[in-house]
Amino acid sequence: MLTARGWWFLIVLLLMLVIGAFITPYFSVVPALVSLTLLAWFVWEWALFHARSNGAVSRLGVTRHVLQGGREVPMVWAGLGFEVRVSIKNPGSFSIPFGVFEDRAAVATEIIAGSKQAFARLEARESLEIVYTLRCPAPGVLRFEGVRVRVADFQGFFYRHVFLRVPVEMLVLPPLTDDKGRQRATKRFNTLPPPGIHRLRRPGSGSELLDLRDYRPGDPPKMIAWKASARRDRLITKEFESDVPVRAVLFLDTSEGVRLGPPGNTLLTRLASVAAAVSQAAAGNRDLFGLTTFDETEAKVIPPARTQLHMINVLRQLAEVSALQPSAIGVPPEQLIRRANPLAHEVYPELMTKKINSLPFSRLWIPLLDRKYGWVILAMILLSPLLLMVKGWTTGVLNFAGARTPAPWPFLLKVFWFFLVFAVSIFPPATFALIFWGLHGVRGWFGIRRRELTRRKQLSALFAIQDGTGASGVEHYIADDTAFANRVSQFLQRHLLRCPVPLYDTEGRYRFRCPAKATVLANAMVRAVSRARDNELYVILADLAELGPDLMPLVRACRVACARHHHVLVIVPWPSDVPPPDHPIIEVDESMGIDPTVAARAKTTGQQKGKTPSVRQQRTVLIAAARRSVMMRTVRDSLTKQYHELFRNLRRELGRVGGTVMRVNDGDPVQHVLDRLDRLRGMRSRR
Amino acid sequence: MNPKGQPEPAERALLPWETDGSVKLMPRDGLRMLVNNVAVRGYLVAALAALAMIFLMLFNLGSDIGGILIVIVGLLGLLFQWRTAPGIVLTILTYFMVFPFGIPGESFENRWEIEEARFRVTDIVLVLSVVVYVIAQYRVYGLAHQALIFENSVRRKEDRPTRRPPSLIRPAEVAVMVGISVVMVIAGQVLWYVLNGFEVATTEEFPFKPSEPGRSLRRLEPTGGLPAGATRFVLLVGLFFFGSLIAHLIFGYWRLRMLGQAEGAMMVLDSGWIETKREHQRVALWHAWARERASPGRTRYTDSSSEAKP
Repeated sequence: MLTARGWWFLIVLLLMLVIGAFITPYFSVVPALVSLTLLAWFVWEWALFHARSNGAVSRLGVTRHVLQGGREVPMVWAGLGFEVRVSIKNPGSFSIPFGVFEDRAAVATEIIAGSKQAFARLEARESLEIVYTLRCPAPGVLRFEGVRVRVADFQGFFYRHVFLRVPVEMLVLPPLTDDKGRQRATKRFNTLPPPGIHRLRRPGSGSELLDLRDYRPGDPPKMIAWKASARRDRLITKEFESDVPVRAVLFLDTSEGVRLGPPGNTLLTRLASVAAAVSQAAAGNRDLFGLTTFDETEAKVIPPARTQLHMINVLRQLAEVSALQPSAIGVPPEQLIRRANPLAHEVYPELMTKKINSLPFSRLWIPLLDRKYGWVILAMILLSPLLLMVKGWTTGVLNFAGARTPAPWPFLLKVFWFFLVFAVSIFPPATFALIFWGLHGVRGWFGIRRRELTRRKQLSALFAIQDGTGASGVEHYIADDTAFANRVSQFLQRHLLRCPVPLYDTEGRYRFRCPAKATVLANAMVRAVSRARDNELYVILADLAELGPDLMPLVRACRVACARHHHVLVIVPWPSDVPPPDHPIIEVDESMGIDPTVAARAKTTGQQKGKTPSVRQQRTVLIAAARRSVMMRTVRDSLTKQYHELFRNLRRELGRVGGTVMRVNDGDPVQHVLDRLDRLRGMRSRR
Repeated sequence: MNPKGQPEPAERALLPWETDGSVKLMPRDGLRMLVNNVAVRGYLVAALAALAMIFLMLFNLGSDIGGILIVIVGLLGLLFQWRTAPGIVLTILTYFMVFPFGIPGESFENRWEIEEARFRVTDIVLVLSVVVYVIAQYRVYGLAHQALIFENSVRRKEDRPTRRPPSLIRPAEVAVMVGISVVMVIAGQVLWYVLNGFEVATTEEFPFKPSEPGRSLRRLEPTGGLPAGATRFVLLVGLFFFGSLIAHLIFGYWRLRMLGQAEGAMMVLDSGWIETKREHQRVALWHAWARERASPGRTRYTDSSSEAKP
């Protein structure tokens, strides 16, 4: 609570008091009087700050309102601004003369207007309001943790930081799309059925003539084709096509592979945006649409419907899956700690202080007997008394100690020194073992080991409090790396904080290939086919390019769907750093020029140390940079070629069974899906 | 356009010190704020008046060099936001009070100084001036440069100091500051009187009694009591000890009363863990060992603190 400025001021005052009150009071009492007066004022400020801290800061309350379109909403739309109003009330009887109140805005949002920070004086029983406008560019989940309050006295001697935790989670629904602008405005065929239905070439109650057949007893007289009957001299009955609704089922990939990336800009977010646009356009056309989300283990199905409630459910589901994050399995615990520790200190400052979340020195001591060779050291200590059985050992050690004690020293010092030398040399193996034991254990008190263990213990205690597992939970998380990594991962995901995950395992394989999702997707498709009523459109939004030979279950499912006259459209997310397949790849040329930024860097090398770089140094830097640049290009081009090849294979395999594969950034995928729906609706219609 | 059809005056751009406290002021802007902002100017005037008074008092004592030095350091501290200026001023003042001419060794020892200086007007004015200057200097520093400390232990380039905006200054703040300074000066005088006005009486029932006149002159106590300096020391340490003990009891209890549920749970958990940590550590290691035995292909479980690999 006392800042560095406060400590220095206190030290100066105490020195002045010592000098003024005990060394120079007979020359002048002014130093003593000044120091005593300033000390009294310092104590007064300390007491005042404590009173305000306990009587006002500890009692602050927070309420939050989120408004969009002028009214309070439980969820918001992506792409549209919404207002956040945070009210901080001081119910205590003390005022806060100076405080900085900062709302911890949700991640992946941008502030359009206002400020989330307020520098204010908060009087007793009064409120303060922070108003700002946010916009969330992508669907997902917003989490407002609470308000961070920092207070200090006017002089900067005392400081306190609290976090008023009022966690609020809100869904960010995908943006509303302009469905009218996305569908065809001109009607090309007079026979085009009204929106929401399409003609099925089966006899039904539609308005389009399908066929003529002989009259059967029981046919209604109004269905008799009189002219045809007159020509053929027998009763002929008209058959009409069946008008049935158009149904589209979206399959959205939510596996680990599409969750990678910065918040709000993942492949999953882009796919979810496409799915939302398709859903809203289909709903605008009164078509039925369903959503199936799947990952490596399971698929969640929302059956096709076209009500408003269904639309909201689909958008909610899309928003929830957009916020999914990759699991942190395989991430080293140290990296997780470095990520989670600042967050825990920011959001739970009072639970992470050393005052109540401590790590004693005894826990930092490294126990020797946990190691196998520790028992050898113990045996050395226990067996050392056997030396007493050697004849003349004790006498020899006594003589040795006596000879090493200097004669001119005082008597007591001589006695102490004699016994010290005797104790050290009577059992040499035990002495060495004890020294080794001490050095082994004391290593835990210093360096990175101490820092890491302290942070890990504090985080473990926080998790134990949240889980209610008690003291055993603390040691469980300290001892078990996997359990700790899982728990930290949960903690980070709960607070919507992403942790950088390794993309490749120790053998260089891509960790997020997720081959199991092909089987899950195939099962979901077959299930949808089995429940289909007529020709349907299956839109698969999935990252399938990496699957390669593991794609076969999906190929078989597509074959089944196409055999039942359903349409299959696969939309593959395309990585932003990979050029499209029709883009020519520049072959690596050793003689290619060097990046000008590298050349500029070479010129400034060594200037930070106040030296001008020599020509040789510049050349060395340029050559190293050129090599690195060439190597990077080679690797990038190789990976690009490999990805293109995988994409071509995917297109070939699925095209062979009747599926259409396209990239998400290849034109407008939403328009493409709507065209397919039109084709399905009109059968003969085409753009 | 206003109702009369005249164009509205253009909205005035905010001056740097009129923004919130997250904007760092350049030194020039800090100077302009001291002069132009009415609320901050009050502190500036108070500090300048205090410095002038210190100079006059020191000049009166024959220590004109000390006065000039203090004025120079104080002025530079105010204008350029020196955080160390109050400490330097206090050091210079102490030096020149002992050696008025600034030359070491040329000082006047007065054996009656302690008794003569009780509630001396010149001392009161000087102390009041110093207190006002110190408080004003620190407050101006908080307004012009930094009021809240940096929280990270390692300073980063992008860290910006947080100021206290001048708009938060209350109208009567300077007057309250001067009033508190007066009260504190009186408290300091009383404290100094208490420290020198009593002596230890080991033979009495109550171990303290009012000191006799001229007691501060005696270097040794013939009756077996403590000498004057030691008595002052005992009283000072005793005041600090019991004062801080009472304050900690009061505020500590208040703090406990204000503890949240999570904080209380953490205190209980931490104390329980400290008592049983070795047993829990052993059990956790056995569990980890059992899991590893059950799945040999999985990750090795190690205690990061003990390096134990069971």
